[in-house]
Amino acid sequence: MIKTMMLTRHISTRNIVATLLLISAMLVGWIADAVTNPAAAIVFNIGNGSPAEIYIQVGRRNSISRVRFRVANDDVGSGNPVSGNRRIDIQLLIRAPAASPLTGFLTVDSSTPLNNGSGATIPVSEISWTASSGDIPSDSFAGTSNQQLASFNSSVRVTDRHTFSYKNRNIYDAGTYNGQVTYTWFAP
Amino acid sequence: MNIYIKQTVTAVFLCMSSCLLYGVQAETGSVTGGPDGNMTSSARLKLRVIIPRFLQFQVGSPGTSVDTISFQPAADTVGNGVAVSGTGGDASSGSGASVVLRSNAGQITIVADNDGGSGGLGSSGSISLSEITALSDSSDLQTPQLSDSGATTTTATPTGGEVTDRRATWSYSYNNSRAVEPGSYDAEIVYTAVSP
Repeated sequence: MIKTMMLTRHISTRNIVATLLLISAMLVGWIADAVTNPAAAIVFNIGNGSPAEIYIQVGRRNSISRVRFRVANDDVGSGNPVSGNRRIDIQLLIRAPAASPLTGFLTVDSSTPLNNGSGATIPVSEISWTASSGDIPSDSFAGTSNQQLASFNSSVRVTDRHTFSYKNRNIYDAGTYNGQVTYTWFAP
Repeated sequence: MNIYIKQTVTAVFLCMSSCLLYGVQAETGSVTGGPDGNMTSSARLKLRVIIPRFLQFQVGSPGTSVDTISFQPAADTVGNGVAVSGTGGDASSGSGASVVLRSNAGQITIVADNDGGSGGLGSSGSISLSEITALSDSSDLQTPQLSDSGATTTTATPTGGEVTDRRATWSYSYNNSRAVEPGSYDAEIVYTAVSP
């Protein structure tokens, strides 16, 4: 889902909360200051943040989300895909002044294979995903360090939900294979 | 002292507002900057694949059916020492058993046993199982030779690491090395794949 943002008219909830907290902090400081210096003046300076911003969130906000694929005993290497245990929401934001627009690029590094701690590995390219909205399109991890997934022009907020799947095309040593991919959202 | 308290409280609130604004947690990344400057932010996702130990072994037709390989010498060739090829089974070549061995449980040993009767073919064991020659078309998945006492073995060649993924066709022939009384002589061979 893509929401176009009007930079000069839109104030996000985060900005409102931050502004209120800033005002509160200044008020507290003013009260403390007033005890000793009742003649001090107060100056409010409310800004609209930096002129440009990018933001990315993958899964949960406060920790690294994990998607697990559990292959059944009688299905190892059968070619029947195995769905992940949870879907992952991906949020992107890029905003910039209309006079100085930016383009954001989303890439993913999946170059490090999953490993079972005993020397056996599974390439991350054995994992694919289906996108619910398609803004960040369905695809497979390429197993490379710089796979481009999407690009968007400012100012926009993008949300998509990915359902991951293990292709299950080969037989691998038994074990629990762990790995990690890193999404990078950048505006050059 | 009052000034110190004021600065501390202000700093705490400024920190709180900053964290809420940018959300710089492990899962999220936020960067601000000038319109002409590069901005890069990243977020990670963990992946876990759980592969169980397994062993799949199939000789002949899938499921619970048991294939039959038949040897039928012509009346004028009984016991002449000329081998008689078997017929029947599910092999695409027309005779024999298609064999599939898939596992990730280490070196696999295949054991051949007879049906547990008195040995050999026939209820009285009047034809020794050593009269049957088994042949595999794959050196990586050899077939055990049959014997009246059973427990003959071969080992499959692993594909790599703990993994074995091999296919073969096992075919059979009757050596026909001696004359025997007329009749049908049956035996059932039980193949077992064993992991470490």
